[in-house]
Amino acid sequence: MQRRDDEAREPGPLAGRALRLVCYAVLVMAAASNLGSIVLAQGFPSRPLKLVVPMAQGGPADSGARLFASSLGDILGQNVIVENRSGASGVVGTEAVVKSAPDGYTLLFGSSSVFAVNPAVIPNLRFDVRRDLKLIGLLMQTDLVFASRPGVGANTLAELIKTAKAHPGKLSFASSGNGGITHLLAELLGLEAGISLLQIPFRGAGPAIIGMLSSDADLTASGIPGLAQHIKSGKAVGVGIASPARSPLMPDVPTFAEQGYPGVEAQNWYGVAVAAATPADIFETLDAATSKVLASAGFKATLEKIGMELMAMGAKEAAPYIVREIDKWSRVAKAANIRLDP
Amino acid sequence: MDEIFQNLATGFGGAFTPVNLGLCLIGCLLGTLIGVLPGIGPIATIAMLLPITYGLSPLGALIMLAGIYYGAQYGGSTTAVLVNLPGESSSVVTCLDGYQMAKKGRAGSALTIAALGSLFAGCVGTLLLAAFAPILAKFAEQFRSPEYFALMLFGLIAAVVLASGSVVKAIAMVVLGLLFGLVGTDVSSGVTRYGFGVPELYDGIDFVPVAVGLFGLAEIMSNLDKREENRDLASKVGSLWPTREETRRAIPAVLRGTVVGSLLGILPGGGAVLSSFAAYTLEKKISKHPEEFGKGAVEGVAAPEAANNAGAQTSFIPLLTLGIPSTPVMAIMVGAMMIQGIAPGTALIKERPDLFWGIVASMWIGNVMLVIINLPLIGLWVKLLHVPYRILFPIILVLCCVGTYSTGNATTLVVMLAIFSVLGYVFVKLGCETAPFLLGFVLGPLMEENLRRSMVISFGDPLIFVQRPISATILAMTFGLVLLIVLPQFRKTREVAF
Repeated sequence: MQRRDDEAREPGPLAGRALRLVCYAVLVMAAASNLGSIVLAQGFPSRPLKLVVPMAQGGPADSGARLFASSLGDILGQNVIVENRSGASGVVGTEAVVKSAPDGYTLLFGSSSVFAVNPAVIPNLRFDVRRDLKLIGLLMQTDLVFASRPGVGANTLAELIKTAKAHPGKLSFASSGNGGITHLLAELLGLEAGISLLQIPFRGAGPAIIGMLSSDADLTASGIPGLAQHIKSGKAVGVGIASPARSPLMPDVPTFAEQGYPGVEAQNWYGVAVAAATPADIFETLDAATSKVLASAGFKATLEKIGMELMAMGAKEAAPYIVREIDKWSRVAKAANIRLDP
Repeated sequence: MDEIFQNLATGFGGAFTPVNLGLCLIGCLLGTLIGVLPGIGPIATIAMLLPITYGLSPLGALIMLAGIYYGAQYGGSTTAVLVNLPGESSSVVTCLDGYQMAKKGRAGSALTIAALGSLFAGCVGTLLLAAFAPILAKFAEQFRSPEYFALMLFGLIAAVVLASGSVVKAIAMVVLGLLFGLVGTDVSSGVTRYGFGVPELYDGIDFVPVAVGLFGLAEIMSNLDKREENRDLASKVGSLWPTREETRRAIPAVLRGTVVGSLLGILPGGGAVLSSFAAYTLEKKISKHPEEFGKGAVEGVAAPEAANNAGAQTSFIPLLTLGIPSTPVMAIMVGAMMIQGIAPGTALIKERPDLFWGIVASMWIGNVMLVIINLPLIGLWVKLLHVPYRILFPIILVLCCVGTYSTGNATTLVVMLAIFSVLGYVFVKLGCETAPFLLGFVLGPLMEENLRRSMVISFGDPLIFVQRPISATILAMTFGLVLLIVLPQFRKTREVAF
């Protein structure tokens, strides 16, 4: 059995009585999860499933994946084991799922990088996510916030554009890495506003934030949880949110759309997919179970704790959505001449 | 001063509950266990245990996670001493003299010194954290990419001092390490170097297969090619306690290691990696008998172990005061805090003093607990050396393969482990030391990244390195170190010439 919250809540040294209580709790939960399981495809799933997470352990996305895996496991009545296969901005893990047996036992927990950015910036990928993967749905997202260091003259988008135009190429932007989503977001802003920012790539979003705070760069962008405390404490200024609506986590920061640039939009979102050749009945079982997870109140509440928002986009809408996203980022990558090797 | 004690009292009040003590114990035990198993590091363990902490109180969750972190730091040195297997980059240095001590039958003594040195350093680190956290955080804030570049350069030059043999070979090994460190995607330009179309190589070669292969498995192989009776193994088990002479030499080394570790630990990004290397280098430079280093010098175990643990404590300073994680483990701790609804950062001390001081107090408790757990275990660990090597070797081999595989769930990693084991064997045969190689491998990419970033920031003006006072000071120290290495050679040549 997957470790469940109740079992885990057991604190410290195990007294006999507490242990017995835990056993009961586990039994009750096991019974409950059996009742709740749905049987569509005959006999599926008959063994544990594997959720491949193409990112390293530890970040909010990994926590989100683990949360989804345990909720999905409860509904399917089988363990869903998280396997981190990081490397080459997610290409390693994605390829592992593309090449896996299409029996529904290997799932991919992919991010916007995996589904939309990589296809746009890596011309010679050995697979096509549109053709080789079948999306079950998009589960969760975080809004991206654009931030500046106080005193660089970029407290609002208008100020940022004015400063960038007055000193072309001097305003620097700390990105989470070459060809990463924040790099593309900054380039998209550059294209729309007709400005050019000096790119300073870092190894990931965390180091990029530190880079901006320690004055190695003037601007950065990241998921809201990474920057929220720095904006709150005044070490960083929230310039704009790259989403259609303001974020409940940061209601004071206006969107780019409000500031006149509705086209500058990017989110970190996360979806789950299987190999394209997975049989339809198995796919439907997974689809129904995923919908159940997304509909549960507990899942939504825990997601919000780790700074994520529920996205809940089903298979039908998800497929055209990622095609649109790939097109958007391909346009940016082409205009800014961003291409990666692998 | 009164205020500090009052704050610490608040903290101890929070941490000294049966539940929190229990969580601290569980954390330390788990940490020791994963530290002993090669390959399974604290990052993976904390990430996997994170969901368990959702249901705990915020303080309890953080206490347990912090316990895992120190436990792993400590457990890593146990295998480093006993079987020459570094579990973490920080325990690589412990291998150098710790394993040699074990070969001389001083394994118990080495482990005891490591435990007590770590405890002392941990306590000092905790006090520093309690007293000077905000001031130290200001110092760390001064570090930008030019300073990091200077620091990494200093580390690389110091790597040459690490070697106990030929200077030329040491330089060659550093350069070879740099070359291996270059594999993968270049952060600044996005170009892949030496990728050979293998996607697993695009993020560079993983540290675990390199360290485990070069140190542990290469050592096993070089032992197997000798006849059984000639094997150079750590099978003698002497007294578990350090002798008076060993204690006399260890104490000042622990003090110096604590200072070095505390200072480097507060730097976000790379400082912690350097702390044990830097402490070792310092000891070797100021020692009256540098020739003993690499052959089982007590200082070579005491100083890096103290530095490593002091650094582990002070690396909480940037996290708790600025909200800046200084290591990947700290980044995960931020995640854990946010799940609990706590924003780490400047406001934490003011808004949640109970929590801030509770964590500080629990660090101290954790250190004491580690010693309590580990001192009786030393006898048990040392007994492992009595296991016949025809049984121990295969077990180590399997554990190494499993541990390496689990760092990335890829067979490529096991293949790399095999390659680096063979490479390590070649190094042993050629009489080349692996520590400088490993330091070049770890520091090279960091140094390059910071060099190129500095140049971008300064728009191509190299003067940025000397215009900034901290960077200029470190570069001057580096230059001094180069002179120290070069001058004796000159003197010798001149003696020969005249």
